[in-house]
Amino acid sequence: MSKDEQLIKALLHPSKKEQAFNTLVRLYKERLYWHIRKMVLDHQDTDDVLQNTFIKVYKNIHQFKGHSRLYTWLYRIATNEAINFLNKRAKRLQISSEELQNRALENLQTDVYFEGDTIQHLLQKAIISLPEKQQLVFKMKYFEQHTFDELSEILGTSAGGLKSSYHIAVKKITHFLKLHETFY
Amino acid sequence: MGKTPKYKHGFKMPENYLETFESRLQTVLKVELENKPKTEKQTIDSKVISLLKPLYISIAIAACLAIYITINNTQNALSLDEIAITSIEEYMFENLSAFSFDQITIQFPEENIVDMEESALYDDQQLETYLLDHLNTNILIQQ
Repeated sequence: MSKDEQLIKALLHPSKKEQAFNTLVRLYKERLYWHIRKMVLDHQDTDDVLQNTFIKVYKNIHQFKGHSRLYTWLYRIATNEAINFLNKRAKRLQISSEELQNRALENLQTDVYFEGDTIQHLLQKAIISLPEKQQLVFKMKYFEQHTFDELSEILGTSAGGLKSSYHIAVKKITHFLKLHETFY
Repeated sequence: MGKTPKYKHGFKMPENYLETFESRLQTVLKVELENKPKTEKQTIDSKVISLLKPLYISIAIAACLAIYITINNTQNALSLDEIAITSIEEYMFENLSAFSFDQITIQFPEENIVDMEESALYDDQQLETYLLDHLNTNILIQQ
């Protein structure tokens, strides 16, 4: 039995659930934090989404059927939570998702938890110019080094489609950076 | 799974954030579980009750209506014997005059009319009795 299988078994066992859940949080909190952070950009928002992600995992662990690997299931929940969080905020502020991302990007300039240089800031700007799905694929592939097979499992899209999305995203970002580098 | 980032992104995590995360999560989780909505079974039970209530009410209303209609129908039911002959005649006189001969013949096929003519309706004995009972012979004599 693999470690994940043991962990799931313990999570489904009432007397072992608490301890197993703590183990799960300890194992995945950092990776999920960075995954969410690159989507929502702000640390405090990331903290909220990460907590919601684990709460959802705790409440719905019985729904995990083992058809996918545990971490892909966790990533999927985290991704959905982050997307829902952004959509809800955009709706509450009555602005588009693009506008919300532009605001988040502007906030990065004064964010104490962002210490990227001008190129990294420009890269974030280039990323938000992409369609939502391409953004996600690019971030997960470029920053988190997921394989296309892993991405396929997490995002529920074919590996071929994801490769294509990623390459288009890279082209667009390269073009964007070339176009804007002279201003820095 | 995601490996150590190859490319820098510029984001920074506050110091000790991960160390304190679990205790904060436990606090939030505790609150969440205390405010936990009804369990699945409770939800199903309450749904059944909420669906059954209107059903019982509907059945009760239907039963009351049925009883009321039955009683009223019984009270109002009149046999043909109880209706005065004059009322029937009056009704027929007033209402049948609204129909022309053609309209009446359309309603009755020819063979039915023939049957009616041949039936006991025009029995001579009955006709004579009727005329003797109803006709004022004095008027006929005067005319």
